[in-house]
Amino acid sequence: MATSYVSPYVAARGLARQLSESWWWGGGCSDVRLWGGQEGRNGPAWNSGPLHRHQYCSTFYFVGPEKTMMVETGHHAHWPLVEEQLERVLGGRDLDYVFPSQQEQPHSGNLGKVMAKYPSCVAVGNLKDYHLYFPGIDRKRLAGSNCGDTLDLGDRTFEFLEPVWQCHASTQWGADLKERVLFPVDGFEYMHLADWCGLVSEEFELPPADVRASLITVIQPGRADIPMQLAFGALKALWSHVDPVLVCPTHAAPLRGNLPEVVPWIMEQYATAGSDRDWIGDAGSDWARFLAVRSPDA
Amino acid sequence: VTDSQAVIQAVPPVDIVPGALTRLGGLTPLDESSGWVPAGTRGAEPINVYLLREGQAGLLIDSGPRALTSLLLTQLEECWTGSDRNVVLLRNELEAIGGLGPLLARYPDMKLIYPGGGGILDWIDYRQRIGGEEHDLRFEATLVLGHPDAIELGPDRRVRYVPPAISNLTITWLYDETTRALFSTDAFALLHVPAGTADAGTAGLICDELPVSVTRDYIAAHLAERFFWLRKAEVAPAQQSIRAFFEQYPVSVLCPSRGAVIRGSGAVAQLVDRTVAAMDLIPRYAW
Repeated sequence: MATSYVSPYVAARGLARQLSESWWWGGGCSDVRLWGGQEGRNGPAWNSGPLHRHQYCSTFYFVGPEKTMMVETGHHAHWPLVEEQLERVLGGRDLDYVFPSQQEQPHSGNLGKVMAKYPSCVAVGNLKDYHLYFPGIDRKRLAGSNCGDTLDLGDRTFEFLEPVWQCHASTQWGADLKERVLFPVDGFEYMHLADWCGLVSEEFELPPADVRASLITVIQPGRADIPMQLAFGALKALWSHVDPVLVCPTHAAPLRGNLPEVVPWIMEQYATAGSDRDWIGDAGSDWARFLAVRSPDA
Repeated sequence: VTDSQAVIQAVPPVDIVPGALTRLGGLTPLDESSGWVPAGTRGAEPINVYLLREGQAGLLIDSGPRALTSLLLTQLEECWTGSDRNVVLLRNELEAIGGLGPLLARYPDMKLIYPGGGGILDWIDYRQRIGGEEHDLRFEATLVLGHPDAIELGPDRRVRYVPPAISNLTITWLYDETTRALFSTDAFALLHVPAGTADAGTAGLICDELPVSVTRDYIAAHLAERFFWLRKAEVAPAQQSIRAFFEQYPVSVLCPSRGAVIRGSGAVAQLVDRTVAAMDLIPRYAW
């Protein structure tokens, strides 16, 4: 029997924090150094490498004049943090909608607790099989949505989008077209160094390529057999539709203020993962050119 | 455990290999809220947990979704008499870990074997009442990490970790050398109980012959849902991977987490052949 245990699921510094007029960033972090065996456990130490890395399990809170919404429920080990953030950000208002982007625990783990805390809240998204995972939730409160559907938030609509990259069949991306916010779920994932915890992309210096490779993973089954160039094309079409100034991945620091620098930095690494990795060309420069003409205010 | 189990219909445990391998679990109706299956699929889907036994040792494979937990605990009360209790997780998704907290609370001496990371106890319902008191399983459960080649259930009973030939988020498959059973989690999980036969007890839970309805088109439609990424990928590597796997491991029983068990080396080989061929029929993603 273990005598001590340190949870890898730690608080992220300064969360929840406001990202835009209506959107807040919350949730927590996990510390990669603690993913391995600990005292009382007979597993080997995780090969965490020389970098002290964290990975977010983010949540996002929308507080509009008429409606409120939560994107991602967070990892259930983070529930005490998430519950406090919800209360603080909502300021006494009810939560109208919760959107777990997919079934994995870091995305949907707190759904039962959220629905119990806010009895009038309705869950949206691809909710197939959720009655098996959360049998305590009244099925009438599980309102499924398909990619392409929209949700009326009063002064705007939230759009459910076909994912470009996904680690689960149920994944849906989302966007707020009014404030130009994109939620790419497992896309754009990059771990952050512990020193960057709680910072958005414009608040830290992007590390060089050799460090980047140990931070970024394309979270997509079968990625080595999928042509990345086609995925880039789909992402550019989606980008043109949303024209984001704020990108909120679930497992990475939100991208804000330096999109023409940080998106190419990420995509250059993505280009090394697909079936066309040997001939895809300079993806970083390609994305820099694309964004330079598209997003002068991003 | 107080959650409703109304979405899971109880069926009795079924011995796949008497004394060595038992299928536990229930049946859930297939309707518009069912995942992993093509739209319009009806009937019922077996939701499976497996119990391997060797003398006093027992190994439970995954713990099923939360809606199954009450039924699973009842079934274990009835049929699990050994003293060396173990449970292994092949994935850390909600359909594999849902019952783990109540299970570890019910059997405090049970060892949790996990070939992934040490944070797994944070993924389960770790706050449980045991003997009327609140407990935190993160501090109290016995967790066996690491990735040796096999789980030893006895001096002559090795259950090997084997790399999945195809997977979404699966960490490992398991192969029981004694029964030649392969525990493939989300792969080969496509045989349902047809509508109208769901009340027929254990009928349809074990298939000794591959139904003629399981055509290449049927399999392709299921693969496109479960292994969604195959629609975007070159399928040749996956085909090659599956062929290589079954050439290396002689499999007599296929035990997926969902869907009927396929028993008999002939039926298994037939399903594998049709699955490989079906990959060429998967509709391509319209980029």
